[in-house]
Amino acid sequence: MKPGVKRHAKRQGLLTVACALIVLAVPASAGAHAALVTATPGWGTQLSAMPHALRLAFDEDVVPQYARVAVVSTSGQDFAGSPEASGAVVIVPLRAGRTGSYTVRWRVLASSDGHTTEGAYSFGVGVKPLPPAPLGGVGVPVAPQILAWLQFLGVVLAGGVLTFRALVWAPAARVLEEREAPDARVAIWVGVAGAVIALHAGLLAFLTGAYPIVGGTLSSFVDSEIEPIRVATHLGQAWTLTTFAWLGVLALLVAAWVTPRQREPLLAGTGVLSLGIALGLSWASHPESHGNLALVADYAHLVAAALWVGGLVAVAMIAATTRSLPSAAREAVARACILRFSKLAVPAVAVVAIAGVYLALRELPSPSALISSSYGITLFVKSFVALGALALGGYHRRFVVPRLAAGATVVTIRRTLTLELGLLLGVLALAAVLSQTAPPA
Amino acid sequence: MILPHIQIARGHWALGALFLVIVLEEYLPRRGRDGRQGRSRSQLVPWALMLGAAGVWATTVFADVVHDMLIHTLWGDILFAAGALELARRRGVYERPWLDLVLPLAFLSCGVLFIVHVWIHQTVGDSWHLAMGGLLIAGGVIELARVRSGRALLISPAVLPLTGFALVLIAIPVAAAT
Repeated sequence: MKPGVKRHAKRQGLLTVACALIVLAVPASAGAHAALVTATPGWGTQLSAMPHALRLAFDEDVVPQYARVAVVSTSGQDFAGSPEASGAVVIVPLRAGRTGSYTVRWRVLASSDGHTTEGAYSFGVGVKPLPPAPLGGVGVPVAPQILAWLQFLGVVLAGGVLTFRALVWAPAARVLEEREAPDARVAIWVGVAGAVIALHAGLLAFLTGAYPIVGGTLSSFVDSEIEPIRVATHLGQAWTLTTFAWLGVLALLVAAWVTPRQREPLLAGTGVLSLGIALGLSWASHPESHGNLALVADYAHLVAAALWVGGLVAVAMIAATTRSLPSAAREAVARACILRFSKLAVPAVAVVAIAGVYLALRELPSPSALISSSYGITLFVKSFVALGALALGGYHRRFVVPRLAAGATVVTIRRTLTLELGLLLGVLALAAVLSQTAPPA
Repeated sequence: MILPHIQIARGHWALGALFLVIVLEEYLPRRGRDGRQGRSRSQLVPWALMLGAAGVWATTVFADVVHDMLIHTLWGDILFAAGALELARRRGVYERPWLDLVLPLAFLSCGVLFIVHVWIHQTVGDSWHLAMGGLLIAGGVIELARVRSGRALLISPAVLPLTGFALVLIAIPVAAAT
């Protein structure tokens, strides 16, 4: 065997070993704190009757005086008696309770290192347990809304922009007869920005969602065990799936970066996958009782809006990255883009409108709720701003596109396109607020 | 509620072995076709870094405690960014002089995170975590100094602390689990 081939084979072997090792690494977790090992009744269990006691076993001895356990019904009544700790086991007598779902909140102090840990989970008596219930008045103000907006922004940048490129820009760019689209590298960085923003906003959104369920202070929350919340809630389930999907998006973007020949198909695939991830956002804020049609409508609303906003961002990006081209070529490609985008925008806007009206009718019990509840007022303002963007879109479609088709310069549309984009980013912010606001009963 | 110690040990042992592969591949002496010493162009290191990032991010998701999630997130970010930059450099699509600093800076920042982890969450294993952080920081600083000085050594002295880190990462969880 030649030395080069031998070395190559050796490295392939090392790579295989590395892959095998990482597969072994996946189920790993970090530990080394007073963690809950077993609970009876366990999380997610459904019992026929309320047990007489709750038993929590930890992996370290706990200080009896500082063990705190609450077993709270959906109406907020606590059924737990005084906890008795012995070694690493805490036993809590329970009062008789009726059929329903109960949230267990525990907090212990490890005797070895003096560290406090806490957590929450739920079990059911006679019914399937609901996800652990949040505590009223506990939470991080404004953070859920900002984090929801950042996640929408991530879908717009990675999903809307890159899918727009595949549907609109790639065919339009053929007029340039260049090997590589001039905006390809910028598009990769826009996608990376979107994926990184959404990935981290997703983690923080999950944590800020879990915090009110566990309760306590923010500093003690850092030591909380929240696996039951990840497993039992839509928020946690969606976060688990979208995290891995966003990592896949980042991997595709790196692949697009390092393999120029496959760049366009990889970027198109990235865009489609990112739009698919939007289903996780809809799922996270979607109660099971609303049914699948509402989930599909919410997802369609989000995807169509991402295409609309992402298209405008992409038009701005293309305008910036084609500045170095001769003016005739720049004009030709911009015109081709806007004309194609105009055709795509019409069905996208129609889906946004139809799904939005359906969701509004579903969530609002009466027309008066539009001005008598915080949910309704936010929805009203959002619809008003969206109508402004829609009016600008209609203006472009009705008056500008025919002029462009007849040969007018693209520069005439710049200001109104910027205004439309600004309004739509405002709509996204209001949608984020809406996603964190409870509809009127 | 938490994963058994054996699984935790297995995960950390695997990451330690992966790190050892990276160190040996990157820093053992090699010579190019012209007989002169050169930097590795092997894609093993960036792929190992990105696989490590995937494993660490998986740990973020499946970790049961919030501070573990936050620290592993930052570790995953550093490993992924370092892997992506190294992959682009080694495939020749992105060449910048500062890319020589990527690996040492990644080691250094991961070591600092070990110290931060201990600071956030003090446990009986603090001394081991501090030692591991110190080894990573030492490896990063030594390699940074070597790159900045522009000296080409047959074997970088950073191999010692970095190999030490990998061996500790393998040994400690295994010892704890048994």
